[in-house]
Amino acid sequence: MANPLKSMQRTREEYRSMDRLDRRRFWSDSILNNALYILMFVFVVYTAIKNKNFLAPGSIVNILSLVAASLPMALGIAGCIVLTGTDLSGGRVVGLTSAIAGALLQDRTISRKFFSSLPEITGGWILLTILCVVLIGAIIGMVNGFFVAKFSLHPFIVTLATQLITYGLILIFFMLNDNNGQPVSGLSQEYKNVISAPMIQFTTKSGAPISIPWYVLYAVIFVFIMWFIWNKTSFGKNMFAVGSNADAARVSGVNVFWTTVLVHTLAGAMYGVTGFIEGARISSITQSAGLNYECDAIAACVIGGVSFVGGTGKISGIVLGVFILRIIFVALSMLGINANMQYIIKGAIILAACSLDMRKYLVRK
Amino acid sequence: MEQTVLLQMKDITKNFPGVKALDKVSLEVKAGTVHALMGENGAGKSTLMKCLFGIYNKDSGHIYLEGREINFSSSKEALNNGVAMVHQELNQALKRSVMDNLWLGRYPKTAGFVVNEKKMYHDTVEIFNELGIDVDPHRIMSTMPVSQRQMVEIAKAVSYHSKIIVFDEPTSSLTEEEVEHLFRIINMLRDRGLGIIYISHKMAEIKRISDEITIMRDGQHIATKPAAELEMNDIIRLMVGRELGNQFPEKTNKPGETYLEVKNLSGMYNQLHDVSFTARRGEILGLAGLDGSGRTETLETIFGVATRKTGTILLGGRECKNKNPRQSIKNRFALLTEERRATGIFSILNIRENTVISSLKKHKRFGFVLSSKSMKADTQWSIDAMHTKTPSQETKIRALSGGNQQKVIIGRWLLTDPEVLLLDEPTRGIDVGAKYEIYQLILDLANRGKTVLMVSSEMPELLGVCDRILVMSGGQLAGEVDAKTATQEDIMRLAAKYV
Repeated sequence: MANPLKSMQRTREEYRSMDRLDRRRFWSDSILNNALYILMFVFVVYTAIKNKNFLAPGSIVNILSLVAASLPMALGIAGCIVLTGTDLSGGRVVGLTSAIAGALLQDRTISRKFFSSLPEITGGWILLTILCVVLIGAIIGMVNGFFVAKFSLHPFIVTLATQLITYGLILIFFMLNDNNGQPVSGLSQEYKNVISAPMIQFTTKSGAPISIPWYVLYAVIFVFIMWFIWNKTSFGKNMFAVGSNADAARVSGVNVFWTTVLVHTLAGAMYGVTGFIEGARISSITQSAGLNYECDAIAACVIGGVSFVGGTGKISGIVLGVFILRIIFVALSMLGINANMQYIIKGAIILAACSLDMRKYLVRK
Repeated sequence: MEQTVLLQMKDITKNFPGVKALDKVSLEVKAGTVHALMGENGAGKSTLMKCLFGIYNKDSGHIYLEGREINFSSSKEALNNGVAMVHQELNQALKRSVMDNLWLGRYPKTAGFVVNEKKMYHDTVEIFNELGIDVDPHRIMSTMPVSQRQMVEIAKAVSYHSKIIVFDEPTSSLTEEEVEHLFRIINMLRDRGLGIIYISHKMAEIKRISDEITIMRDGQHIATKPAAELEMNDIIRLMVGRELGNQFPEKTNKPGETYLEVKNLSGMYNQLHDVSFTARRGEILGLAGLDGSGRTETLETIFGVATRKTGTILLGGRECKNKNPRQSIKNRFALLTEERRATGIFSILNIRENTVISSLKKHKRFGFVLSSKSMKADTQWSIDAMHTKTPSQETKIRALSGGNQQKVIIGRWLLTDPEVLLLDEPTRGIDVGAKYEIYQLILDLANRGKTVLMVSSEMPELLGVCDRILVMSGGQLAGEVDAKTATQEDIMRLAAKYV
């Protein structure tokens, strides 16, 4: 994502030397390239005027929590987009891993348990569960990456297939041990303590208690980890090189196969992390948990400037993208817009964002 | 003093289904020399290089580097062993920075996985200073001109401590000044004892830079001689395999009245600026200039492929808007594009489908059914008129040679009944024999009163075929020369005017 201020400074002198037609184009280009942010600003101001609660501390913390919940997934999927690919299986992987995490960390005292004979919940057991779901996510991601890299299949096809397969696995999982498709609920306090329990608590002037959950901290940590991987490691640089020009990377000795597999594996691991957080967050996990999460994550990435043309994108952009998308969703419901209508608006926003993004990369003649 | 042989390729043979691409070809490159590799398109130069770099597996023969037999399986392995190539079409990650590209695949690392950017920067600057390259290592590749990107590629080859560097058509998009810089670098590398393999079509360049010349033809080694012993005509004779009587057909066209007028043409998204000229009926007007000087853009803007900012186009005094190719075809313009494979042929379609695609309207019956009878008739007319060599109308166009493909496309355009033909590099990638036929076709068109605008990078071709030549430079019209009296030097001087 280009810094609009910086590019404006650079073009000040160029602007002076432009003729009328070029100036008109300059302005229309500047407006269109930043249209998303301009609209965003207008939208926020409008919502804040219409509904005073929108910018109240409670609402802001709510947005922050929602952003934190969806960030890890977006961070993972972004790598696939940098490789000019995508990942449609993400949402279902979140569903599967959240159900598994939930089942392994159910309260041991409730009567209807998913697994009847599990050891006491200790720190070690929680850690083991995390490892388990991250591994499951990573394996599905690795399968995606393998088929993409080995058979040169488009990630769209591969991940469409694994999305279906994962959904099948979810349905089978929910039928295990005579569960008969019942939601996984009755999660243990220990699990919730780690994820959704308040990390910081305070009260507003009006006396309403507000708390920031722990998983906000985890999201921040993951942002830093991913920033480091993307910018400071050879794997990150290879990922961008492959996304920018796979042939050049291959000729220079980059292992394109492993880079592709690893990017997808990393994405899968991030879905596992998201699933673990999601389980405690929603506390009653059904078969449709995680449904369409990948769409939100992809949309957030594109809004944040991780382009489908490949080889471009920044972590800061992804964070911004997730924020923008979340703010829009929250604002839509605060404006009292019909839930069905919200889907249509979401779709329109994604369409507009992608069109505006592609516009930047078009070679004009 | 006897120079040591750095690279020896001995009796290399490579067969493709039905074709003997290389037949016992040998090549010896000595340390501290520039060895030019010459031959027509399809002579086997690039196949030979691909065998060296392990992109193709040779069927038989041996390759020795400093006396040790080698058999690379990939370009990367070749690089690691000191054999590098600077490609004609640069293969780079354009969205990444200069130093990211330079060290791609072997980033200096600390702790095994963290990239040491400081060292990367430092090393890059060191190599650039050594070669006299003035480029910021942090700059993003796509923001730099081709000449600088090429310099990065050379720096990359040097950074691998290469002993052999292959240059494949390195000057095709460089200005004279940039060519001088490139030659300084090549000479410096030669003086360091490297062996340089230099592939180019430009005779003057070859004579200047090379010490030895190897000529190939039809997959065979024809001759290797010191450059000083070969005259340009000898080289051509050896390359073509026969005395070239006349490279160009006799000029018989008689330009008539002024027909096409282009006024103040400027491009919206390209650097084309204020181009005005006229062309007459039956005239062949050449457009010369360096790559990127706006020649192609001029044709594309006239044809409505590129967006016009200002300018008017008059055909016989009547204004033609030409907002898009469809309008232009209606206004009886035709554009033969430069990239035949990308924007000319539909490679998986057959000759007939390729021939009639621009004139489908003529074959419509009852408003929507296409008459196969009339399409067959038109295609046959095109094949006969162009002397296209093809087994049948149903043959896939990709099975034809470049020259015959070009004839199919020219035939396609003639079926739209154009008055103005815009030809962008009509003989690119076509061998010498077929070129003559294309020239003859162009002259025939002019004889029939058509106006022809022809872009070419080969100046002898422009001087031989055209009546007048417009020279472009930096998106502007730098001047005009008479093809009968002008020399290549005149054109080059104008081409550098606004660079």
